[in-house]
Amino acid sequence: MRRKGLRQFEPLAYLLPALLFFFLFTYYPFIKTVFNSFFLTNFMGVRREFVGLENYLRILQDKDFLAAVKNTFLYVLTSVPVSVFIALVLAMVASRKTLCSPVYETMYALPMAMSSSVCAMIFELMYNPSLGILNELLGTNISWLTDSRFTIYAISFISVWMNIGYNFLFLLAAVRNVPADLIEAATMEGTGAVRLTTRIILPIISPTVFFLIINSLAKSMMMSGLVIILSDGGRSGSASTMISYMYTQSVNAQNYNNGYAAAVIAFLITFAMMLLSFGFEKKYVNYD
Amino acid sequence: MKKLLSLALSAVLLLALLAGCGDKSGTSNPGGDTPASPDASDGAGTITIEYWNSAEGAMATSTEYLVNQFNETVGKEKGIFVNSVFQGGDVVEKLKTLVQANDYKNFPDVGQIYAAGLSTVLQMENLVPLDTIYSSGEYEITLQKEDIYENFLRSYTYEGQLISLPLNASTMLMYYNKDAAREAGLNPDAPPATIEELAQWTDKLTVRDGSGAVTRYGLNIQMDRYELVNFLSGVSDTGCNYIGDNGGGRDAMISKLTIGEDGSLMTFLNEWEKVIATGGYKAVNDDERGEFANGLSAINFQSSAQLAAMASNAEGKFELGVAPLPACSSQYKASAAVGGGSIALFDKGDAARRQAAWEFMQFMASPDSQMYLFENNGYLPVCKSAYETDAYQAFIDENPNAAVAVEQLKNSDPGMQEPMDLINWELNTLCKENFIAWTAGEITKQECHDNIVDNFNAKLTEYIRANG
Amino acid sequence: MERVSASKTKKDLGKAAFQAAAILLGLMVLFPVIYCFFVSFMMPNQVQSIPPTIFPKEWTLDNYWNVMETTTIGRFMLNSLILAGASSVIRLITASFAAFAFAFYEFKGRNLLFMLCLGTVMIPSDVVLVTNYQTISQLGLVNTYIGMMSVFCVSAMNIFMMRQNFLTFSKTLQEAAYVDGCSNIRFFFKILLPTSTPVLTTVFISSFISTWNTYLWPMLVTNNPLMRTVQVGVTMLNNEDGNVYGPIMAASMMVLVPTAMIFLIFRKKIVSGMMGGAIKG
Repeated sequence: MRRKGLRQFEPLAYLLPALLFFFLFTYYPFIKTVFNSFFLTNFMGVRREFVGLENYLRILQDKDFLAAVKNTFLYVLTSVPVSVFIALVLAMVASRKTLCSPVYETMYALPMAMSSSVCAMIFELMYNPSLGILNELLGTNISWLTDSRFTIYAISFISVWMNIGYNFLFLLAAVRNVPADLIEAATMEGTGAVRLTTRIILPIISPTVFFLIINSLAKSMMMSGLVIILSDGGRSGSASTMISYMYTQSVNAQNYNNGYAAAVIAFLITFAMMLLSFGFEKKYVNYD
Repeated sequence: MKKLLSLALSAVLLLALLAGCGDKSGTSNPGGDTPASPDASDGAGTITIEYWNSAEGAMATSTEYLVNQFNETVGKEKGIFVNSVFQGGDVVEKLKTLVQANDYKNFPDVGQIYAAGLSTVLQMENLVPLDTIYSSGEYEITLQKEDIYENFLRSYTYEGQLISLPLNASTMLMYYNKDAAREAGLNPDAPPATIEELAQWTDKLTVRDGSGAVTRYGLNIQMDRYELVNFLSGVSDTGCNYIGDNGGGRDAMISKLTIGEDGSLMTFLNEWEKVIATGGYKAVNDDERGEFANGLSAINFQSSAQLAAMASNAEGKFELGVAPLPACSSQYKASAAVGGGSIALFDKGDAARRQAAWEFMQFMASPDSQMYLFENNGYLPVCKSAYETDAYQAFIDENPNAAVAVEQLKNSDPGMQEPMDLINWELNTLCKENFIAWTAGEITKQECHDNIVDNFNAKLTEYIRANG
Repeated sequence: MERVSASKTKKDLGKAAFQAAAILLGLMVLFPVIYCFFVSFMMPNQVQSIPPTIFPKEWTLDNYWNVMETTTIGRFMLNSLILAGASSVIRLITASFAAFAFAFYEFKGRNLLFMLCLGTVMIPSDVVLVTNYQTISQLGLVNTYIGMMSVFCVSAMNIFMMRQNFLTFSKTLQEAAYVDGCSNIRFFFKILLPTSTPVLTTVFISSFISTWNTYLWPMLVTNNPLMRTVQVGVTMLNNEDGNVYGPIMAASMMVLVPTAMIFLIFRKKIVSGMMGGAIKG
């Protein structure tokens, strides 16, 4: 066996390529952003004057930003559980391989292949209050995207739909890997489908579920593209998220002062949520 | 496992191969089926210049046509090849990134700039203001500055300097449903000329069902910044409302809105109140064009560049009417601001390239090219001489609606343009949200007025502090 | 005997009903895509009409011709294929090594490094865009495929997913390998990776699709019409002054074909892991 000193560096060597890319293309630019957030910057993002925490204090008093924080949490609360749950149901439906299963497996997974700009356009068409297919099918008369009571949920629904395929794919792989004899034994004992899922399958696939929850959480916290494209009509402020606020402030309003500070605050909030979630890992996630 | 490795290996090989090709394929057309681009090495002094554009849909096809046309005629003759590159919806956003990264090397020679991006571009150090070209005597001038319409010149001028050359120009028009007007007992050939008349039309054109719910709105327009600016245009003693100080930000940086203190915004709101009072006005854009085409609204305001699309949408459904913008009231004159895009010249440190680029720009703004854009895309010709051609007359005779846009332009004060406000997005949001809230009865007229003026002035102060 | 066969028929019927229901569910899930498909064949004035319809009244290929005329969609697809294919393979490599370190080694700062990795997900790409462009332009990689894929070479979520999978790897199998004198790197290549095909495939598919659909970065670092990717093509159709739904839906359907193919090709790998097989056997 090799010397202990050398072995210590072995894992670091494996990590090196990933860390290198992370540092170069994510942390280095982000650290620059954090640094700039303590300055007054002009419309080109050039530093002009050190202002300490002023940018942070300003946006923390900006009701638009506070609304964006609240909206972001609403998106998380509505989209994360729903998209994981639906995907789990679909994975259970598709768990057994049959003659037809390739067909519906593909159907369940395909939503993930649509880009967000195209999804935005399809749903924009369907959501139109008078010309869209949705109100026609439901017999309702709702301005999904321009009535501020519905905008957030309408957009959240799109992101749920977009995430279903991705979550399904990972859950299917996990469910299919559950040892067949375990399931057979349980079925012989007459365990019902719901009980089977919650008591036997869920603990086994918990690492995947945990991954998907963290993944969806991060995605929803970072949600912006759909909001920017879809809340153009009506009152855009009613649906904005932390990141869409950051985007519109720095790109549209040429205000990097607010933009940089918003990015850092979004990072801190999301990071805190992630740490919180990892607190549950030891308790609920089963790796054996 | 072996498969995976071999896959990885072949990918890396492919990568290396492509990286090699990538560098060399710098010159070519997006068309694909266009004639092969001259090899940079075939010498004979062919200069290749780059044109970055935001041409989408039908405009992409037209741009490709015009660029090819140039390459095969003037370009061939003078040894210039234009490489046209689509850079997304807004070229300025990309140029801004290049400036921020201090990468002037990769700048294009010519870039398509929309009005909203102008204030950003004019601060770029490698921009060549066009007046220097007209005055230097080093360039061949085929398009005289005097030949360009004053309205379009003014639209792209800052501190007396022409920043860029107008390319695809449009104005806002009133579109209305003539059949609906007839049914409501209105004269379809005498569309509303003032806001008050617009309110009367809105009232009569609105249809409600048994329960009183509106099934057809008389008017649908979301009051964005551009719309408001157009409606405010003539509301001034001088007949030209600059919206902000310093000539609307064209003589120096804008520092405040003037529409509050000179009372013009309130004058307009007093008139607009009559429109809102009808209950048949929809202030939200759910899909203004689609709803208008399906008879869910009877009056709509859109760019003149949409003439073709609006006409084809209405075909077989109703007779489409097109009219100039109504004036605020009979004591004021309506005036339309220029919308659309222009082309700017950037210095790549080589006089020959600048001359080649200027040659191309003049070609794009020439009467022939402009007539091509007018006929295919509904953009108004920017040079006066285009309006004297036979092609123009023939086209107008066949498309009387297009003549309305031209007529409106001729009647508009050249001084009346969108203000050059660097944070136009903020004003846009304020206008839209406050008009929606006012129409819904959530805020009063005075609140709508104050919210727009005060909040925007506060944003301007913040902006000036960071940029001043 | 009769009774048995009757219950068998009943069971078969139940199975068939289940299959039908599963497919029906699929149609519901896929509805937006199906709708997109039908809209792509509609005449422009039917896309928005009263009452709204799902099926085209009159089928037309105009929207597809429009796409072919306005863009060089074939070339764009090739570029996206290169970008997505190559960067997904690189991602697999960087992620599997990193996940290996996180799952099988105890070392100082492991949790911190892992959190730092995950932290990258919380940094919006708009924030890092300008600096990354600066880096790429200083490296002279503007207008190259390498510049285009540079920011897609690693994904924290891929590392995380693989770590999750590696953590469930049977400890006894690992110990057995070490007893056999298997070195770490041999264990990684000979045992760990081959048994992880399902997760490798899912990671590959998901990262292929996400890079296939990227728009801003590939456009930012290239100024060459021959290097444009599919989403740029879709954007080229989005003209404010025209009727855009038809052509954009047509382009989306065309762009969807290669990703659907990738999924169909690799689908089998997802579900036939060795782990399941080994235990079953």
